[in-house]
Amino acid sequence: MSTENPLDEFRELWSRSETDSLSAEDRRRLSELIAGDDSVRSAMLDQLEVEALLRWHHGGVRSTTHPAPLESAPEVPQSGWRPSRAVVAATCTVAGLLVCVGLLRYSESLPRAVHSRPTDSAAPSPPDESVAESAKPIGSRHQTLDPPEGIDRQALESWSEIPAAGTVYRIVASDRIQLETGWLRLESHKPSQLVVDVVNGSAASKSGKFQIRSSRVDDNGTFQIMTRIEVLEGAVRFANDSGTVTAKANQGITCKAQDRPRIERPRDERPRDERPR
Amino acid sequence: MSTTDPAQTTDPAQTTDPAQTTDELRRFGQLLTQHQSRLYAFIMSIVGHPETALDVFQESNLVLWRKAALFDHSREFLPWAFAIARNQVLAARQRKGRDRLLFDEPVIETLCAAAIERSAGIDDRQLALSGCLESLPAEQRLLVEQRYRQEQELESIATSSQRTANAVGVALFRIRKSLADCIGNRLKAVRS
Repeated sequence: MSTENPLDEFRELWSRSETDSLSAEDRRRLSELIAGDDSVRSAMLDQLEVEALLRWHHGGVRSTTHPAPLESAPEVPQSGWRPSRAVVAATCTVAGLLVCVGLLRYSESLPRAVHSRPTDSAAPSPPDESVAESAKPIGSRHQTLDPPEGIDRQALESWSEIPAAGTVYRIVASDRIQLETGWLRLESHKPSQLVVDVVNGSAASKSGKFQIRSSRVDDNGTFQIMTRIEVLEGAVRFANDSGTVTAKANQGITCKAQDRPRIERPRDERPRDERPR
Repeated sequence: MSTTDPAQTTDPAQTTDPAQTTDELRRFGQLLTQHQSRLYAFIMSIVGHPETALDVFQESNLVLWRKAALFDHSREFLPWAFAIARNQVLAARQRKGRDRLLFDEPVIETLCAAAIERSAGIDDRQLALSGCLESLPAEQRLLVEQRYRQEQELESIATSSQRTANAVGVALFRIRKSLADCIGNRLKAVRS
């Protein structure tokens, strides 16, 4: 095998490593190739980097960074104990949540400038059969972050919001948020409508739990704003001038550049060993 | 990279003011959240195995949180975090033997240096990836969906597509190569 082109040999070994079918000799040879050949090392780092980007992009590593409910937090012994993967993930996420809470309570610099609620807005109705589907986003997409004078700080009444670091948003009323950029997790305490406005449209829910992200993506060399919603409980309706969709638990919604929003197929949440082979 | 634990270089007694501690913890949380994707990519690059990388990533996060009060905010965060992650990789290697860690320690050290160099542009590459995914042919996009969104095993994909698992592995290898080239080209185009 060592007489082959090193890159071909690497490709053969690396493809086999995906099925965990490398022998000890294969591993030794792979290490030798990586240590001794710059082009092989670069090719391998490309493979691993794209692997990491793909897993990150598709949410395969999200459990570590997404906040979890406080009641799910186990105590972590200080020594002599190896925490399980689930406990580690929960502990990390709770720590993240605590920082978010601290950020909300103690930081005056958090970008949560408040604005009065637009009076003539037509937000998407929450997903309820009794409500008409003719939903349109509000027209307040490009307001500045400076709060207008004389407006008091507002808080959501029946929902709680958990922002990721770097998220820029404002609570415009007790049932309405504008998300400029970043990631918000929203959870209802009691049934009550909430509307989240993003640049691509507006999302509405009557109760449940969902997360919404507004971020830049590269679209053939130009940057566009992508909205992604994941519904964890309940249902969310998303609407803009191009269309309206409703996603239920375990479904997602994507919308780019104010195009027609799309429902994403649900993730298979079963443990790996219970999924069909 | 030093083999000593960088978190031990700061005296925790220096940060006893509660207000300062709260502010520093908040800043630490922001730094850690902001750099999660870089940390994960770094660990993946030196571990070489996705599931082991995820284990080490989560353990590294836990260790980083435990050492948050020791972080010197006048220093750069990422080299400190990478050093701790590297130590976690080596610790995992000792615990698990060679079962799921592909590389020997000298190779890990070589990869560390290369991975640190690459980490600076990871956010831009993450952005470029979205566009590159959309430009993939439908068959390749389906394979990416099955593998990364639905998290199907290679054997499962192989069965449903009437191929061998090895053939699916080779196809995924080519897709990642194609995506790496696409990302590089897009970033070149954006910068020029």
